[in-house]
Amino acid sequence: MVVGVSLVVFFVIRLGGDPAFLLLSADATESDRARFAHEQGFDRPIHVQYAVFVQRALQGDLGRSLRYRQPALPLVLERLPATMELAFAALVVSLIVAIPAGVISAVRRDTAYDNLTMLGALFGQSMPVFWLGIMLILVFSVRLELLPTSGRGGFAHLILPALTLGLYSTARVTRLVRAGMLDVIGQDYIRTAWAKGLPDRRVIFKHALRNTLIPVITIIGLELGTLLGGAVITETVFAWPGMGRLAVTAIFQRDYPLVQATVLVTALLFVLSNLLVDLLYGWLDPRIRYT
Amino acid sequence: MTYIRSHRARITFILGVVLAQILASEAQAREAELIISQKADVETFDPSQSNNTTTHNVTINVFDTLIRLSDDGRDFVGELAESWKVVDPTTWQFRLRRGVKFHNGEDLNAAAVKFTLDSTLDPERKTRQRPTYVAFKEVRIDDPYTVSIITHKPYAIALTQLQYLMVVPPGYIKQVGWDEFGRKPVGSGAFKFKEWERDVRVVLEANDAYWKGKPKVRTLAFRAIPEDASRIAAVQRGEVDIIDAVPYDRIKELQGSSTVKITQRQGEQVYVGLDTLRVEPLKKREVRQALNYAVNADALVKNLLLGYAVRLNGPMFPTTPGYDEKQPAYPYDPERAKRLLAQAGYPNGFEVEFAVSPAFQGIAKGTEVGEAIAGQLGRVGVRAKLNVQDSAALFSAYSAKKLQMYLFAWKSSPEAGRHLETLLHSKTRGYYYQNPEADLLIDAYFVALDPKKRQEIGRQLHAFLREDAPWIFLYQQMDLFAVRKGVAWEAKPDYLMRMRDVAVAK
Repeated sequence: MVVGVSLVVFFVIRLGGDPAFLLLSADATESDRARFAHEQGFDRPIHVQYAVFVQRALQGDLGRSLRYRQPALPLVLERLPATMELAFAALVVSLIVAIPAGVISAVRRDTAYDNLTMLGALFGQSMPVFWLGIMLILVFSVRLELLPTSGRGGFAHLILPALTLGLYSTARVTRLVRAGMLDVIGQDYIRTAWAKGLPDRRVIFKHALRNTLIPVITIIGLELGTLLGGAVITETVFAWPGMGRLAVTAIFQRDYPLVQATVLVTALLFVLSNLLVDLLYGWLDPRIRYT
Repeated sequence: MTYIRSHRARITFILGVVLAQILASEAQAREAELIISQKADVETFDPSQSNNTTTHNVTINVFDTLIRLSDDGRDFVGELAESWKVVDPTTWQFRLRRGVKFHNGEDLNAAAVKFTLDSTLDPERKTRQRPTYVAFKEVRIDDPYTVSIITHKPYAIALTQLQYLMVVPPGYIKQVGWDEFGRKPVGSGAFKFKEWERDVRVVLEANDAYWKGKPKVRTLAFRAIPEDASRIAAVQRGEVDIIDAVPYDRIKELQGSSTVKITQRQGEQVYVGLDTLRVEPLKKREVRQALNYAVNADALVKNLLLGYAVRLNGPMFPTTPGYDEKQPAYPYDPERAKRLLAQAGYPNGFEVEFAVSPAFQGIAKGTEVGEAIAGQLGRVGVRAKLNVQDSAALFSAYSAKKLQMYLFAWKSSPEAGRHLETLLHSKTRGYYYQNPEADLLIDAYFVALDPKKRQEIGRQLHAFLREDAPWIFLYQQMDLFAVRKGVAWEAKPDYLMRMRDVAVAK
């Protein structure tokens, strides 16, 4: 999958135009641009360029960023902590909100609460992240003066971006938890527990929720992968120094090596989080054992 | 049950108080006395490796140049150079100020200047700035504080090109190497480098030994906030003091603000380029003039740019030597346009492809301007088919000579008129316009070292190009900045943000 991603990125980014224009000054002549292309190897046939890229990549060298003139891979990895911080924060926020909301929704099915929650989830999944981020800044930073407008810093700086990034996940997980709970609640063993006379709370949390969470955890793992790669808009709006923002800048600058490096790392992270989730799933559900 | 509730309530209350404390203290933390926020982060602290104004705005505070542009944009004043003279048509001699030291104690002398220009031109280093200094042949050290900079041939705009040359310390660089220097610079400027966290902040501290006198603020920081709305929110909130690239559609709102004011400086020239070599109708001068009469540029300036632009009567900027303010800009006269078109043999107009990019080189409202122009041209029968694409794609097509009509912007030192050579001389680009008469005038314009003679030739050149109309002349945009009231800074015509004498009122 990583190979596929690398192929796609490599060829697609080169469709977008000439980096020389963006990096050299506007006064640069044709020979300056030709020289630049030669130095970077852009004048060689494309399959040769790709072969060179793969050969170097396997040795850990993902090329030098055209813009920063530094090795690309360290530049990307430098950003990883910031993106992880944001992604985890968003995930935590979404779980704190989504799990109780989903549970209560399932338990109070078809009540006003349930309907409102589902409506909210629908909005959450449809709301444009860009608009939401800017709205939050306008309301909580500029009008109410409660939180900083952008940038990475301490806890206060994390709140708005985490909320923005986490909204989609929250909505999705809420609906999943609700669906999962409804499914589990209908099962025989739950009815048995009730028949046994166990208190409501115990039945719901100890038995129903636990079993619901197993498939939900798979989804959460995938969400994390998506959050890691997809925080591009949130990072740009909040000037968060993460990988997503680096990718956007690199793309607009036609900084091929940097774009390739960022996308590859993101793809790898996605694959890794999938793998983790698979293992976790196997561990949690005693019925599944990998032979 | 009641016990649990109040227990929970107590915990919530405590958490709330703690949270409020954290939030309150966070919101006030500023990393410097004066904070500037630009759209992008600095690329590198090695001045020879970046062509980006955003980067130069940071490095100009750490390094010094030999000369700088005066506040009215028409003349040069000395910085590191106390005085200079033209010894012979290809030799510019500069006498350097004595006693200037780099932040590490190294002396700034003729050797440092020679090292700077030599290393920028060095083909081994492949610097990004090399094309800018290509007219310079070598630097000769006449004595420890006098250098002669020699050009290949007489070069009237030598000073313009040299104004951005930031002098770097040879000793320090030989010690740590260029890569390390690009990350942890040492210069001679008003501020010393303190820290750089990529995409987060740059922090500089005052150089008390600065030869011009110490800065008015102790610390200066730069933050990159790419999103316009977030950047504006930051200056409104007082988190940063100055921001760049204020979009035109936020002007009205900021004009009414009690905490922020707008300052402007001359920006790029926006024009419509025409392919005079391959597109039949555009080969005729009358047709090109007709297009100029057909476009109502005043309306564009007034309605789309809210007056923050200056109408141009030809390809020069108002501060370019030779610009004649008395010449009127092409007036809006669609009847005349139709007459000229009929005269040229196109009574029913013609079709043409019009390439536009929303933000090419900083054009404000590129799409709207393009649409407006296409509409205006349509009224005289010229059917312009709009083709909106992104900057890099547009430039690729431009270089490949595929464009027929295109909305373009040029940002270059206006007082040099260098863009005339780059864009309209058949030898340099010659993609879309080649006129031997223009070539002669342009060549003469760039070897005329005497300012009066240069004005004279400039006037001729400008008048000639205005008549020949290789472009549809439009306007010069203003670059807009928002500054917190209480910060004494005005935008300067040389595109650089020198912060030494900027004070922040408490």
